Amino acid sequence: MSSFPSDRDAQIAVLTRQAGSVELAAGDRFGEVAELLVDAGRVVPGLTFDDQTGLGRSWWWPLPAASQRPLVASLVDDACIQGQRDAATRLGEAVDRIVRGRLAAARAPLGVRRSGRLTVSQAWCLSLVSADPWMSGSLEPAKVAALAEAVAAWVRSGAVIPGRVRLCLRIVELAAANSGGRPSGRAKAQPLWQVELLAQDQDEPSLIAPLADLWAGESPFAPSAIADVLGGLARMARLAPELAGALEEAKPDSVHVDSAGLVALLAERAKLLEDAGIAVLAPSWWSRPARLGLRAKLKRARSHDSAGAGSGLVGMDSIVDFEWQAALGERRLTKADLAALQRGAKAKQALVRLRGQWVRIDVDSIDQLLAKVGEESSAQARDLLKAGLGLGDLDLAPGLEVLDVDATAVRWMRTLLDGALHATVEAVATPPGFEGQLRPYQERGVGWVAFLGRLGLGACLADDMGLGKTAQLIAAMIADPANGPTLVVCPVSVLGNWERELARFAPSLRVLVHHGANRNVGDATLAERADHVDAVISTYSLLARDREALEGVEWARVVFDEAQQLKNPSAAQTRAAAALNAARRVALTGTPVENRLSELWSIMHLLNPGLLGPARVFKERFAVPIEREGDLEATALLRRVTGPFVLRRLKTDRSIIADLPDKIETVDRCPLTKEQATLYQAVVDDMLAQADASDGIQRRGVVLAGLSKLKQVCNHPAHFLSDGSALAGRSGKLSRAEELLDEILDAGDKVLCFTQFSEWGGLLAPYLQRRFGVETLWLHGRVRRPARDDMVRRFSAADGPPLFLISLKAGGTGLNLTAASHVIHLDRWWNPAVEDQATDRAFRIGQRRNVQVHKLVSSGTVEERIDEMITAKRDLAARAVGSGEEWLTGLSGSQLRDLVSLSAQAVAG
Amino acid sequence: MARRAWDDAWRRYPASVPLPAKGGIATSKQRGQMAATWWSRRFVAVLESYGLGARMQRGRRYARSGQVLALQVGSASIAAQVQGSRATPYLVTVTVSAPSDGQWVRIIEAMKAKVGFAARLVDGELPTDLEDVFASCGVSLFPAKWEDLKATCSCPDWENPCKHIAAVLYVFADRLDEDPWLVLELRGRPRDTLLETFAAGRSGLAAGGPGTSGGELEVAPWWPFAPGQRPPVTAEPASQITLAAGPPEGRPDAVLDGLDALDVTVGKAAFVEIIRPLYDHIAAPD
Repeated sequence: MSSFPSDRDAQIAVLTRQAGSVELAAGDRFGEVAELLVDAGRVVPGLTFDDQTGLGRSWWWPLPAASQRPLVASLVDDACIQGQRDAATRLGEAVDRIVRGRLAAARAPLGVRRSGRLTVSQAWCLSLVSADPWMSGSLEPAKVAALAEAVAAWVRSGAVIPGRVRLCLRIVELAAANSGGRPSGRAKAQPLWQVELLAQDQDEPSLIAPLADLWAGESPFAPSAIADVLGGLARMARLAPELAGALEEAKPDSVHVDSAGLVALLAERAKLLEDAGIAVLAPSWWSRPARLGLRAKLKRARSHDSAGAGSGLVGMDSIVDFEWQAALGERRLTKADLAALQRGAKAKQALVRLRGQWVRIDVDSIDQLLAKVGEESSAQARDLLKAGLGLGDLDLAPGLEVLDVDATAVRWMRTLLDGALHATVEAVATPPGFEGQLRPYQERGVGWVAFLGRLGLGACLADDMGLGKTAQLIAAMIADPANGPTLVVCPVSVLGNWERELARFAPSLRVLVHHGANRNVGDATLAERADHVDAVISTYSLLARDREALEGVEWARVVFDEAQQLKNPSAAQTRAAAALNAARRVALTGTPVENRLSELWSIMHLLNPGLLGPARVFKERFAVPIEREGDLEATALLRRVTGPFVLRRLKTDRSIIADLPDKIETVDRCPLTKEQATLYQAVVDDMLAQADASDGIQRRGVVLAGLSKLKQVCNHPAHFLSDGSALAGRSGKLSRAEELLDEILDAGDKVLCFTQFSEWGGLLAPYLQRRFGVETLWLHGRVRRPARDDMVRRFSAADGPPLFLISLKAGGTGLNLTAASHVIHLDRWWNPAVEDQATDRAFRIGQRRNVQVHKLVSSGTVEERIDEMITAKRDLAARAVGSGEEWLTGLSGSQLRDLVSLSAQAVAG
Repeated sequence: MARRAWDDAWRRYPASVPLPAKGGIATSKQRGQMAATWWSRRFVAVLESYGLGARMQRGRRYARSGQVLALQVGSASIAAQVQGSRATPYLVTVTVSAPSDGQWVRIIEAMKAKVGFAARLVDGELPTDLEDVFASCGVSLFPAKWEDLKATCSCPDWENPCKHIAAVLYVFADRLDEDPWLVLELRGRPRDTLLETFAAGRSGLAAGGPGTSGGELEVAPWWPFAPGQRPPVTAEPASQITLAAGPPEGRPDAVLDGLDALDVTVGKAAFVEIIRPLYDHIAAPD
C-alpha cells in the first residue's frame, strides 16, 4: 500500500543514526515525563508556522490526559505565562525527539503516495516521519499558516483544560464559642454547623479553594470557574432550601445550619446535590458512623452437665447469664452518655454527642434501646459466641443489634472472642509419656487442641503437610487424657502409619485397630473392647458400615484424619461422623477448603454444630458473596468466626521457620593432585581436538563424554582409569572428604555421601570402611528393595552405621534419612534442583540439629566454573540448565575451551 | 368545487402569502408550550399590553410557522431576517432604549449585593425580584411601552409594528425561556459583561473554555492548563507523583479519537487515518 519517496531510505538512515542519541540525560525530568506520555500514546501531530522565515515545522506534541496533568504541572518552575511556555517548549521538544526516534527505529511505513507537486498536507505528513521537522520552503507560506491554524484548533479540541469546577460543600463543626455569633433562629442550645462553600476542580478533586478566594480573584482556577460556582450555588439553593440563605449574601463563603438541617442535608439532599454536580464532603463520623446498639455483659456460666456424661465440661450448650448494656461500636456507654442519649431522644434531636463523637440517633428505635439497657437475660454459650463473633443477634427486635459481647466474666469465652486465641493459648510442654521432643510450634498446637477439647469445642488442625499433625494429636491425647477412648478415623492408606506413630510416640497407650474382615471376632461388643484401650483406629469406609457399633461407644474424643473426606455433608459417612457420640472432636487436614467453602461448612458443622448456622444461610451469607463477588467483608467475618477453631500454620510462616533447623551449605574447593592435573589436561586436549573435528550429534557425544571423563578425573585418577589401583593420596577431593568424615564421625554424627557415579561409589565404599573402621552402607541401582529398606532402617537406628554412601541416581524417592546431620556431595550434578532433592533427604521435619551440606569441587576446573555460574544465578541456572548437561554441548569451541581448560592455580602445592 | 377553487384563490391572492421558509427558527410553540417561564410570559404580556391587536396575532402565526430565519441579539438590539412573500427575506431591527450607564452602575451594585441574582441567572432562571431591583433604580426591566422599542422592517407594509417585527419579538420571547440573560442583554448589558463585573473585576472571563483560542495568553495548543490559569506548582516533584501513565488503554492510537475531526486530506486519504498506524510504533507495547 505504500510507496516511498525516493529519498526515504536516506532519511531513515539519518534517523537511525540519530535515534542512538535520543538517550536522555540522567535526572532529566522533562525526558522522563515525555517518555511516559509517549509510552501512553498521548501524542498528536502538530504544526507551527514561523512568521519570520515563512516555514512550517511539524511537531509531535504531547497531549496529556487529565490524570497526567499533575505530572505536567510538576515541570513548571514558575507559573507565570513565560514559565509555563518554557516548560511547554522543553516538554514538547523532548516528546518530538522521542517519537521521531521511535518511528525511525521502527522504520515505520507511511501510506503517502507522492505524485506531482508536493502539497502542504503531504509535506506535513512526510516531515512527521522525517529527521528534519522543517517543511519545504517551496510551499506557499499562507497555506502553511492556514494549515497550522487548523491543526492548532484540532489539537486544542482534545486538550484537557481544567476549566471545569464544581461547587463543593464541606461540613465543619462550629466551636461552641462561635455559636452565639450568628442568629440561628433556633434555641441557643442547638449546636451549629458550618457548611463551607468551596470550589473543587472536577478532574483533580484534591484541588479545592474556598469561595472567598474566588470572590477575591485569588483562586487557582480559570476565571470561568466563577460561572460554574454561581450555577452551583443556585442549584444548591433549589435542592437544599436550608442552604438557600447563601444566595442572599454578596460573597457567601459558608452557611450555618442546625443539627436537624445538617441531618436533612446529609441524609436527604446529599445524593440530589451530587447528581446536580455539587460535591458534599461529609464528616467522617457521618460517612463511617459508630453504631449505637447493645452489648451483652456476661455474668456467669451455669454449670452444665451434658447428657449425663458427668464430664464436667463447660461448652457450647451451657447457659450463660448476662446483662444488656448500651454500646457505641464496641465501647460501653457511661451513665452520662445514657443521660445525654435520653435527653436527646426526649428533645427529638437527630444528633447526640457521645463519647466525644457525634452520633445520629434514630428517634424511633432509641426508646427501644433505652428500655433494654439494664435488663438481665440468659442464653446458650453458642448463641452468645455467635453474637460476639458478629453472627446472630440473640433474638433482638428489629432495629436493635448486638455490637459486642463482654466476656470478661467467663474466661474461656473471652479467650475465644478476643480474636487472639492462637497467640494467647498456653503451650503444652512435651508431656511425660510422649517419646520425642515437640517443637515450640507443635507445643502451641497441642495446647490449642487441648484447650478447645476441654471446653468441648471442635478443633480443626490444618497445618501444612509435614509439620507433624499426627505427633501433635498424639501429644494432645497424652496431655488431655479425657475420660475414655479416643476414636481415630482415617483413610485405609494411613491406617498402618497411625499404628506405627502411636507405637513410636506413645508406646504406653493401648491401641485397638478396628478394621478388616475379622474386626468383630469374639463376643465382645466394640464398646466393651474400646473400654479396655486408649485409642481405637478405624477407617472412613467403616463409619457408615459399622455405624451402630461406633455410635454405641461414649468416645472421649473423635479424630478425623484427612478430614476433607467429610466435605460432602450429605454423604453417608459424613452423617455417620456427625452421629458419633463424642465429647471432643478434632479434624486433621492439610486442606480445609479444597474447592468450595461448603466444604469448610461441612467440617465446621461436624466440629461445632450450629456455629455457622444452617447450610442454606451459610451459602447466602458467605459462600456466594465470597466465591462469586470476592466480598472482603464477608471473608473477614468468616475468618473471624472460624478463626478460633481452625489452626493452620505453613512451613513458610516466619514463626515456623524459626522452629525448623537451619541448613548450612558450604562449597569446599579441593586442589587437584599433579597426577589429576596431568590427566585432566590430556582429557581436555583430546576433547577439544575431537570436538573441533566433528559436528552435530557426534560433537555432542564427544563433549558429553569429555565432561564425564573430566569429572572422573576430578574424583580420582583410579575412577577415570578403572585400573584397580590404590586410592590413598592421589585425589584432592578424596583427601578433603576424609578430613570431613573424620570430624563428623568423631562428633558421633551421621552422614550421607552422594555421588552420581556408581563405579566411584563401588571403589569408595570398601576404602572408607577400611579407612574409618565403620560399616559403610552403599546404596546403588542394583540394591533390591528389601535390602534398601533394611539399610534405611539401620541407618536411622540410633546405634546403626553412621556413614551412608548413595548413588544419586539410585537414591530414588521415599527415603527418609533424617538421622543424618551432614550431607556430602562428592561430585556435582549441574542441576541445583537434583542436589537439593538429595540434600532434603536429610533436611526433613524430623531433623533436630542443623544440617551441614558440603559440596566438593575441584578448584580451577570445569566443576568450579559451573559452580560459580550456578551460585551466581541459581534460579536462572535451574531453568537454563534443565535436568541434564545437554546445554554444555551447544557451546562454541572457544566457549567450551574457556569452560574446561585448567587454570594455573589448580594443582596442589 | 367552484366554491372551493374560489376559496383557494382568495386565500392565495390578496394576503401576500409568505413563501415557505427553509431553516427557519423553530419556536418551542411548535414543540409544545411556548413561553413556559414566568419571564418570557411576562415579556409576551408586555408586548400584548401595547394594544396592537391583530398585528401581533399575525406575528405570532409567523413565528409559529418558522418564517424568522435568523435572529441575533446585540446590546440593546435585535436583528433578524424574516421570510415574507418576496424571495429576499426582510430585515428587521429592533432597538431598545437602554438604561443609562449611571443607572446600570446602580443596578449592578444592587445585583452584586446578593449573589443569588447572578447565580440564578447562570442557572437559567430570571430572579423574580430582579424587576424590583430595576424599579428601585427607576428603570423597568422589560420595555414598558411600545415607544421604548424602535423597530424597522424592510417590508413595504406601512404598518409598524408589521407582522414581521411582531414575529421577531415572539421568537425572541421564546428564546428567553432558554436564556434569561437575554432580558438583560436587551437592556444593554450582555451576560459576559455582567459576569465579569460580578467576578470582582477579573478579566478574561469569556476566554478559557475548552476549544477556544486564548490568543495572547495561550501557552501551546496542547497545554493542559487554561490560558491565564496558574498550574498548581506546589504539587509534589515529578518523581513522587504516582504515574497514571503506562501503555495506553485500548488501542495505541486511542488518543486520536478524543479530538474533533480534522479536515485535512493527503491525496484522497484523511490525514488522521494515514497517521494512525504510526502509533503502533510510538506507544509502548503493553
